[in-house]
Amino acid sequence: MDLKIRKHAETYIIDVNGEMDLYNSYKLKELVMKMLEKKVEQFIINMENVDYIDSSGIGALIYICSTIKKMNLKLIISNIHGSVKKVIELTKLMGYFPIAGTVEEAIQKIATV
Amino acid sequence: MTDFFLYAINNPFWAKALAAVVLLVYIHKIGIRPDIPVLGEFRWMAVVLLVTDGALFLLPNFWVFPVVQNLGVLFFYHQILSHYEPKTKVSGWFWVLGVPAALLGIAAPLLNWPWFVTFLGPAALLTLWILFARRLYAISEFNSEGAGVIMASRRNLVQALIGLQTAALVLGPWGGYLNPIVQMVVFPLAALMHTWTLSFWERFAEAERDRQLRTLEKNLGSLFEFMIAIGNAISEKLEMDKVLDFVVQSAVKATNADGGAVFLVDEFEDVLRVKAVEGDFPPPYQVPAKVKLKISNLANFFQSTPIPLNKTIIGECAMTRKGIYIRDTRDDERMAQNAQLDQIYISSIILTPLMQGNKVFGVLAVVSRRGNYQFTVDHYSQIRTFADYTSLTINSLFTYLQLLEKQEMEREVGIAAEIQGQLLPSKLPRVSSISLAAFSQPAKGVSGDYYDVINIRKGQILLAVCDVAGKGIPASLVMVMIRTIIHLVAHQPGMSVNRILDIVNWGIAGKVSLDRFATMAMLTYDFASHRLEYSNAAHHPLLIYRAATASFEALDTEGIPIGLEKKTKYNRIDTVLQPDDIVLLYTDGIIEAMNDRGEQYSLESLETVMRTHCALPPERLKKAIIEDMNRFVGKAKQHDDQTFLLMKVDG
Repeated sequence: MDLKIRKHAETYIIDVNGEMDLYNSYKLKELVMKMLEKKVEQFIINMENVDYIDSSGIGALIYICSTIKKMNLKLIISNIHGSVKKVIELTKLMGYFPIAGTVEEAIQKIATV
Repeated sequence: MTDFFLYAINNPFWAKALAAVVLLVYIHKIGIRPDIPVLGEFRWMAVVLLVTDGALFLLPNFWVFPVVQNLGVLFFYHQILSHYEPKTKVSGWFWVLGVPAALLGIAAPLLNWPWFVTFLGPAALLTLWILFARRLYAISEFNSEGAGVIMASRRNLVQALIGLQTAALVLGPWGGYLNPIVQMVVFPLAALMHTWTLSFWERFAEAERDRQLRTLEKNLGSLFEFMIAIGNAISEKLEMDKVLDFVVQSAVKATNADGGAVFLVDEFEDVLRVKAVEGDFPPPYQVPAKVKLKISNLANFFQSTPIPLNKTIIGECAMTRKGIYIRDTRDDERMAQNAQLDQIYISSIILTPLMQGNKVFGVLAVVSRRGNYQFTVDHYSQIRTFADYTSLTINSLFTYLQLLEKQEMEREVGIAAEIQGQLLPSKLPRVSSISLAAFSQPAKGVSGDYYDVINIRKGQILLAVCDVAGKGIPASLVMVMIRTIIHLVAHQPGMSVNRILDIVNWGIAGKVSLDRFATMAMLTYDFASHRLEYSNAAHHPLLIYRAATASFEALDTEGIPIGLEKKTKYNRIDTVLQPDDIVLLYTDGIIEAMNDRGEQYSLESLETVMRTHCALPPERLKKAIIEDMNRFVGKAKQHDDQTFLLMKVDG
């Protein structure tokens, strides 16, 4: 898994590339925690290039999501598709995560919320 | 004036004495050096000239002195030539040209200066000189390192000298006479001048070599110190900050700089931040007018202002991945402000990128604030060596940390596997009216799956399958907690499956980290009433094979995974089973089992194999499913745990 960060206005977009599994999901978690320490307030996690996720990956997303919710900051997960979407649907978490179809949608959504 | 000139070239005493004095002064200046072999001979030649001329001045008509003088000079000339010529060649040309010329010089006064004496003598010497020069200025013992200098200078020098001699030769007959002895001295003197030039150059080259050697030794010394220091920094504690502090300190010390700093590239923004500063390091870029007024403001500003990657020379260094060396800031417009303002004055600066792999993670910089102290190219190469070594060290540091992490993870997985071995039921309970089979296979040593079969009371059994997110000890502990709660509450009167899930969730949520959630499916079956009750916490739906209709049915209830929210309430769905009905609880590892082509085993395949083998008892049905799945997967490595529980109602 490979993480890239870009910035759109005040929003930080994290592009996740590759599989999110037991052996690397902690990286995303650590990254977001570091960003929170540095007072980043708006996040988009772009899952466009993630084709596989296991329960640890879902766990990492849940952790990130709940932490950001607790701090009253903004997070949107975008481009969930394929087996990732299936897993999230199966675990009945579609409602739990704030989701947008594309990064652009996510940017709009974050601006209006 | 013309008279003086004529006197100068016509009077042998005057010219000889002058040549001899100049020769002595030169030799005195150079000093006798073993690496320039002919100096001693030149000195003796000058002494012979001065002594015999002095004697001749006092006793003008004593013929012995010119003879001694001529033969003496001839002797030393021979000595000098033999240094440069192989003996055989020297003797040939020397005897043919040099000796007759000297004899003519001796004979001239006696013959009353006939024209051929004044012409032939110098002509013979000139020929000898040309031969001599050809040999002398060929590649000689002087030009091991200075070949370039000799090559460049000798042609001009030889041309000038030959021209001079030819002019003297032409002027000789015109002026009446030119003493061959003058020629004999002037020629070697000219050669000596070149020798002197070469020796001077050699001395210069030697000094340069010494200087380089000293710098190299010093560099090596400081690099060695630096390696030890950085080694200590690592062994004391694996701290990046400490390593960087050492790097800056060493860089400042080694270059005798006034200040040094390390800037690190921010992890998620394209900026550089000041990480470690040593000594006095003013911002090497344009600063706002307000800040410039106070030194303390300046330091604060510098420490707290991130530097964009595309701005300032620090950003430039990180962007281009190339070092920057500005010897004199006055010559570089990027440093215009630093060269002018006292508060941020920098006279010389070196910046070099710090790399991890092929990624720049920082910049190392040193500055001089003394107008009379500028960094040299040596300093620059030294700083680059430091940066290279630092990059190397940090690279291995990262690799080492990763290795440690991996080892830690593997160790943990090992322990967790042990815990888990004791969690799963060692054998399934034997009961009348149903038969059971269970399969569980971890993907990488330890499973995140957990299943259980419990006799909760007479005539009633509980089946559960659970998938905990993650692996390792934390996941195993969550499993232990879940198992403990189930075993404690399942026997309680009035308990139902959804209530058990409620309690498990209530017990787990908030107690464990959120990313340790679990999905879980649970059912109870009553042998007497054939009633099955099912509740699901975001797991796969329950699969039922109805023997009567040979069809499949999926049972599911709403509910998010266990461990997320304390107040979650789970639902229940009931059904009645008929003889030969089969129920299957499974984890994603089964239907998502992947083959080499990336295809998944799928629910359909699972259903097909179950339908085909529906008549078999569960233990053999289990084998059929495993075989079918293995056939599909082939040799592809699975990255998810596979677990399923089969229950069949006896006919």
